[in-house]
Amino acid sequence: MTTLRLDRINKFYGAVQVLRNIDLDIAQGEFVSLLGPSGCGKTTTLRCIAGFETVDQGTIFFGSRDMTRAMPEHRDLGMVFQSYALFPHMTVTENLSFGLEVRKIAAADRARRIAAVLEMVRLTGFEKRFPRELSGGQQQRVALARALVIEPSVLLLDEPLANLDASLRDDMRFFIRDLQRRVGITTIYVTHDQSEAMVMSDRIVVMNRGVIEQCGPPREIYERPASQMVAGFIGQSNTVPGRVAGRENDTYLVETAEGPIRSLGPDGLSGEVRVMIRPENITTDPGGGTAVPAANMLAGRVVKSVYQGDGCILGIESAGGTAFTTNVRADSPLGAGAAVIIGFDARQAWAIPA
Amino acid sequence: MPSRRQFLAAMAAASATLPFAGRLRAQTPFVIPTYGGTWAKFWEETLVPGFTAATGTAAQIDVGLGKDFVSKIRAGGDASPYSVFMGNENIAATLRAEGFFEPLDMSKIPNAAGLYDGLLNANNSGLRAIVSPIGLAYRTDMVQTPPKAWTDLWDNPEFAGRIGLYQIGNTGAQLFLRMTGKLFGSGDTDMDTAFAKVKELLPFTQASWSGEVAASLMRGDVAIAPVDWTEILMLQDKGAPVEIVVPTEGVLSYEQSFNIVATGDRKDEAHAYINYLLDPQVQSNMADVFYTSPANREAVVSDALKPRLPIQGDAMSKIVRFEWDSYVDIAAEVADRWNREIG
Amino acid sequence: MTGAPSPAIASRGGAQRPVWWLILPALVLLVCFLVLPYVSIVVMSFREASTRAVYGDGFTLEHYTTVIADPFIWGIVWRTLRTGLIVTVVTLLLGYPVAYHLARTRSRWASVLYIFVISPLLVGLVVRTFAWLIILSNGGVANNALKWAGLIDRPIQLLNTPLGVTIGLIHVFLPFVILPLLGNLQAINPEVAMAGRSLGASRLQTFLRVTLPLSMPGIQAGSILVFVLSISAYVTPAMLGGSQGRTMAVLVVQYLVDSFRWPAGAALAIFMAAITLSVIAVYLRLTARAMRRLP
Repeated sequence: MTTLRLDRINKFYGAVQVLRNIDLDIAQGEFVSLLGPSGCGKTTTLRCIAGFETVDQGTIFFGSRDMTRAMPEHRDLGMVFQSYALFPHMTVTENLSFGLEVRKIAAADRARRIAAVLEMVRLTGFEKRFPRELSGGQQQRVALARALVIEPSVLLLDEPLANLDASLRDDMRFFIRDLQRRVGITTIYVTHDQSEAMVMSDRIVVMNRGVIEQCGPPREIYERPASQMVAGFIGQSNTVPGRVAGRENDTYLVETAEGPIRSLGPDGLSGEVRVMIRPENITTDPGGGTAVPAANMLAGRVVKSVYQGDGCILGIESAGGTAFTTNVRADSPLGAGAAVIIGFDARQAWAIPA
Repeated sequence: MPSRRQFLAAMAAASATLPFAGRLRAQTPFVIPTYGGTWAKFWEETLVPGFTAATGTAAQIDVGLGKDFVSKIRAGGDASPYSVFMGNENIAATLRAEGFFEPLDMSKIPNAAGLYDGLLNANNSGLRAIVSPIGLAYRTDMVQTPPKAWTDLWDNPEFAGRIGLYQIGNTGAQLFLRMTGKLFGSGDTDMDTAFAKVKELLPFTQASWSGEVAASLMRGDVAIAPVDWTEILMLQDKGAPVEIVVPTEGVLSYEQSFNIVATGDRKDEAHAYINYLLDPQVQSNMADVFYTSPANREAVVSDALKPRLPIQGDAMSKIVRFEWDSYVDIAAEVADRWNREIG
Repeated sequence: MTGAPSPAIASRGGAQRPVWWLILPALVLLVCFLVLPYVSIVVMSFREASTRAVYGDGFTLEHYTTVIADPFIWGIVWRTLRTGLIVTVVTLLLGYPVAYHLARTRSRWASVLYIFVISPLLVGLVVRTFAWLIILSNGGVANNALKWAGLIDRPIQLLNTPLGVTIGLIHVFLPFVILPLLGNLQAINPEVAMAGRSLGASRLQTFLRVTLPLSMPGIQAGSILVFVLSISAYVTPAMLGGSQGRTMAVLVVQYLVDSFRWPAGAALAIFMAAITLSVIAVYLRLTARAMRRLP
């Protein structure tokens, strides 16, 4: 069941088009992330949904109702802002009570709901504190509680973790995800952090320059990127330029400077492509016939090795001049200057239209 | 903490420069106080260069109002910034009463011999060298029967509600009040009668200075007002439909009183300056520029100006004057009473 | 950076001795230009009056007792306070929307509006007031416009009335309420108001419950500034007020400059300063209550 649908949304700032034909269906209870670099239009999209930005063309449906022109206060949304936007002159309870009071909820009911939500975000006992008396993480949770206590139909989160310490950020990811599952609320989450989107989302919408580049579950986004932008933005990737030379079953044969590479790819691919291989899918072996056989094997030389604690990052230049990056165990014998054979399976290579 | 000794040393260093500052003062230029606008312009371009050429004394002007000069002389304590004071006689009287002036040394002002009667104070305590008579001015296009006497202000119903008067801060108002007391009461200090009669003229427009009276006349807010010839002749030069008459009871007059400041240090130059002001040629010049009535009998009024300037020569006797040296005791009271009773 | 400063930095900061002499220039200026004149005025206000000297030999409380017992003076005090109050309220009502708009707009016309706002400050006060003198006179633009609009058939008296003074002061002091408010409103996170809307509050509800309370410091600063400036303004009431619109500042100058009554004038000035101070003290108490929850 669809709770929210964007139908060909276009938006301009003067002559600049900031959103181009945005189509998006979001199902009940789904956690969707809008992911992309800054200026890609993800926050603008969220603000269009919230009603803080007007839409120039297109329609926004909440269920079956056209809400394109509705005022923000009539959209039944909960929103968490990047700055938290807590009311600095109100206590935690008053912050939470605000949305309930304007909804004319009776005092007893308000108290019960506030207590329940505060317990949910583990802030019981902080009722009388002012926002300035709370840590960043606590403020974050108050903002979340304030958005949830009104029991909105959709929860909008605008880079809510951007201002938190790295360690706290990891905790909050799982906290928010877990909370969202328990409450079962449809959630749209804006972030520029791909790993955040990866661990939290049911679906990720990758945006770039006002258009949706790709929309799908995290695994699909990561393993089957639709464009170079997506491949580059999500995780680490190695790419080899080439040209489709043929197809056997589901495997393309791509002619590259490194020789022919076998790779999967979307149907109907032809002409110039780039073959993408994730670093973790590359095997490395010192030469001398010890290499594990793989569909694609390239000779190269290690140009640098950076110790990372849990392993080393190897920079390898192949015979054809392509730079590869991969990870090896910290005790790997491969050091700078060493000859190496890199291998990867055709199933772990993905061809993208160039 | 800064030590006390350091502090005292700093104070000593600062005070060491003081005697030096005192010596500097002795070389201060001769400062002539005068008014702004056309006055400052005339003083700067004509009068001061003429004075310097005639006496060899360099001078600079300080522009302000007579009241400002009073404040500066008072604030100067025993070291006035000026050695000569210029201001209306009633203002000069205040400073004189407070002991800031000393009598003129008439031997240093030979030109004073030509002064019209009444322009030299008793005991040579001061003299009036610039005279701007005040008559009754009116809008020729707004008044059917031109005024002939001060009493017309009360008697002619067409003036009711269209009269402009100076407000009490201006010497003109005090002159008018005293004239009213003289006309209707026991004398020019009969303030009870004066206030009662002036109240009969309410409502009237009040102006702080002649320029404001002129502006009210031009706007038509006011059809008749006591103003000086200087202001009205300048309006006529611009083509304004205004006329000014000599009331039968005589005219009032703004008279610039010149005095030697006892606490000044350039008294010889101050006398020379007053003497230069009374020079017949200077007096004629000022008549041409300001339409003032020459204070010196020897001064010639040009034929072109004569018909426009009725108060000159023998007609100088039509100026009604009051005694101000004792008035200073009631001046503040009169001003306060005006505020309360007239507004 | 978060967390406590490292001990190294803390101890170095602690070892640095305060440079006391750096405040000396400000202190000297303060004493010379603020304290000394005030002291001399206070002393002057207790001097005996005299017409045979600038002031008499002895000291007296007479000027104060006369002023306090004088209903005429109290009438002018009341008129002055009332004018200040009206000017403050009207400039707040007029200035708040302008400041709010300036704080939120991203339009390139904002700088034009900003210049517009401070434009009253670009022309000398006397010149501005003179312009009002022309506008407000019986045959002036204001009356002609009202006549043309059919609202009046004979000129209404604007010049030389408290209304004329109020109009002139509002124009002159509008920037003084807009600028502090603008700074304050710009410092308020715009997302806070958006949060109010997202929680279901209308524009008005959000303004009343969120933006307005948060802008209290700007309102307080701006209103005190305008109130004090209005009460002590001289040029505008002197030029536009006549005797009907005379304020305490004009009366004080009249005492000092026209009537040469330095002791009485000084007492009048101190008296008015005391009243102004008490009004502000009360106002500060009231507004402090409204702001006690702000960070």
